[in-house]
Amino acid sequence: MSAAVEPLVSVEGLVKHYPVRGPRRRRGAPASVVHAVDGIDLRIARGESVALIGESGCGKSTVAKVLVGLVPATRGVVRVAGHDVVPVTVRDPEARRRVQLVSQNPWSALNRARTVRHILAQPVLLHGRATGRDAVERRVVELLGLVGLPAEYLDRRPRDLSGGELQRVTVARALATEPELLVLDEPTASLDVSVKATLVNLLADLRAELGLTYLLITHELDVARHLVDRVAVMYLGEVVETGTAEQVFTAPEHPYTRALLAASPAELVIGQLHGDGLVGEVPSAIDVPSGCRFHTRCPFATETCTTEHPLLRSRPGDRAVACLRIDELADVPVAGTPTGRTPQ
Amino acid sequence: MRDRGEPRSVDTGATPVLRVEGLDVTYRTGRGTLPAVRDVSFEVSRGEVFGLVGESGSGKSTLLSALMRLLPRGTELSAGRLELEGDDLLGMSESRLRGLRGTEMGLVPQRPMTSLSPVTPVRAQLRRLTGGQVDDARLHELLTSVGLGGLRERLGDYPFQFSGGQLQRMLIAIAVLAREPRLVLADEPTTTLDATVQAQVLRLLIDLRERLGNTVVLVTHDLNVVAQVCDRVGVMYGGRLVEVAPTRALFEDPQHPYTQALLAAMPSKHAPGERLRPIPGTVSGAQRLPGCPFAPRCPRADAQCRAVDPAPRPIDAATVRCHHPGSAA
Repeated sequence: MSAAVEPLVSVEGLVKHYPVRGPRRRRGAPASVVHAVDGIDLRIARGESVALIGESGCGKSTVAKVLVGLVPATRGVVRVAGHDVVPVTVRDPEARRRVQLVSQNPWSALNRARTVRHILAQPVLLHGRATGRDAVERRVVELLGLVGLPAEYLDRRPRDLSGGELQRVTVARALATEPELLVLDEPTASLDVSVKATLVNLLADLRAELGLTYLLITHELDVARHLVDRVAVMYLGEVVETGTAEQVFTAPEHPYTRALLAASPAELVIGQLHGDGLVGEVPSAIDVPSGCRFHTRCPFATETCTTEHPLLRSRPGDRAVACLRIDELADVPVAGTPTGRTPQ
Repeated sequence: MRDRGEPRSVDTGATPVLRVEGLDVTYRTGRGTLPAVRDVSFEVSRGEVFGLVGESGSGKSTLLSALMRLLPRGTELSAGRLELEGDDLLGMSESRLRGLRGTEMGLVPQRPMTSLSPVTPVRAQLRRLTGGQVDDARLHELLTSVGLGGLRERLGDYPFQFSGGQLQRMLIAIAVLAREPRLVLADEPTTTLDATVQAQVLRLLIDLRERLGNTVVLVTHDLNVVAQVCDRVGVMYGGRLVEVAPTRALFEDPQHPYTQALLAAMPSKHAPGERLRPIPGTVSGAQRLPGCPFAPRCPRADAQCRAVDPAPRPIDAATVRCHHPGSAA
């Protein structure tokens, strides 16, 4: 992609802090915040598909929520196709139309009391994509067709549909406003293997057919491998590595990315536990570690890593990594091989 | 102290730890009856990790509840045999069963957060789960064995103040270590955990098995988990156990068309960007079919498959329930 063309999505210095209430706050103590997203930059070209990967609490879903305007950002700028999404989310219906969300749980995303017809017609009418009963009906049938469901589903309600069918209806609803960017928040997380495969194929087809741009938020690396061109890896509110899907998935550089990939290898491994190389879990996003946020779990951390905060720096081949020791580590072989069952 | 034999040895000659024969479970619902598990038979030997895989609605979780005799009221359970080391679980009184659960059969639940009470500190709950038998020192010892020794001062905290991985390890300490049950039943133990934490919890389950020589039945929909840790695997579809085989054989040369289709649909079986191969059709209604439950979606199905439910038959080390078994084309 060329740098001269304005990207469809540009995120600059995005920060989202949630204030903490409740028992953690002691009287007189300074207000503490959850550092959900702490200053990330992200550019997505038109037609590109980008994955935001990372474990729970890394902030990837918060990025999705900010992008679709569900939560206001604390700081930063988000522009989609020249329209400001942040900071003036709610005021610009055109910006909202262009960005649509497919959420993780289709059971809670759809109004159980309404028919599929109503669920799909609502956004068509709200954003004025069709007027008049016949035109709206035609559009709704067309939307169902796009996700591979026949018109007889129009009179059904969510309870009559299987999980895979429900997820297709949420995709159809997202397409109703003729968006440019689909934010896919763990779209396959609750689905069975075969249903998941169907949805992955559908998303790949829709992107080709409609020229859509995707931001895929997922912890399922195998799904990301099939759907995206580029990957950004998040850890505790920060992006620690970006690169093409091939670069990140086959030759990860950041120690966290290496550990994440070792824990979810591309190939099926029989009779051996996936290597992890990591101890402990993601630390609290309230009291984030000093220096490099990953230093508490990093097998390569040194004294400097505990005090100095690494910035995302460009690496050869259009990728970027936030690690103080990256120049020394680039030669260390990728610890992607699974370890034996009995490490002792 | 019970003699546990050599840890790790899978001792197939002796009485199996778990024997299930001809198990049927039927739910009575407002809309009639649903045969959730039909004619399921399998054995698990001492020290073995046996995986039960299947998609939602396949009956795997019902089967696990049936093994503990923990089915909801109104559910019908019948079997030729349901035995724990030769003891008949079907004819056993509820009070004797209650004595077995926790001591001889330990359960590791799917969602540690929801299986604990949110309004009681973990210390009290963990104690209660062991039948009130442990003091603080023993509790600390148990938690240290699962890598949670650092939590000593925090046992007065509530479940929400711990991470999912910490809670799951606490529950494993209680279910597996506290009273060293002969049989550990794990229901999707890593499904809600992050990838890097998942690896830690699986390692813990396996290390404990090596140390204590207990037997594990692991229910999951995640084929990657099964491939990593199980010695043998049973695949469920439409309430039937359609194939049981040693793990490597099952993944490398599955004999049942459903197992083949399921494995072929996995994203890891495809090159990046390649079109995935989902199984055509849907699972709905499979339990009620008179013939093979997979027949409507099976490329090999014929009139016999649609009319007659195939009986299990041995093929090498596997047992396959199919009229036309054989390696994938």
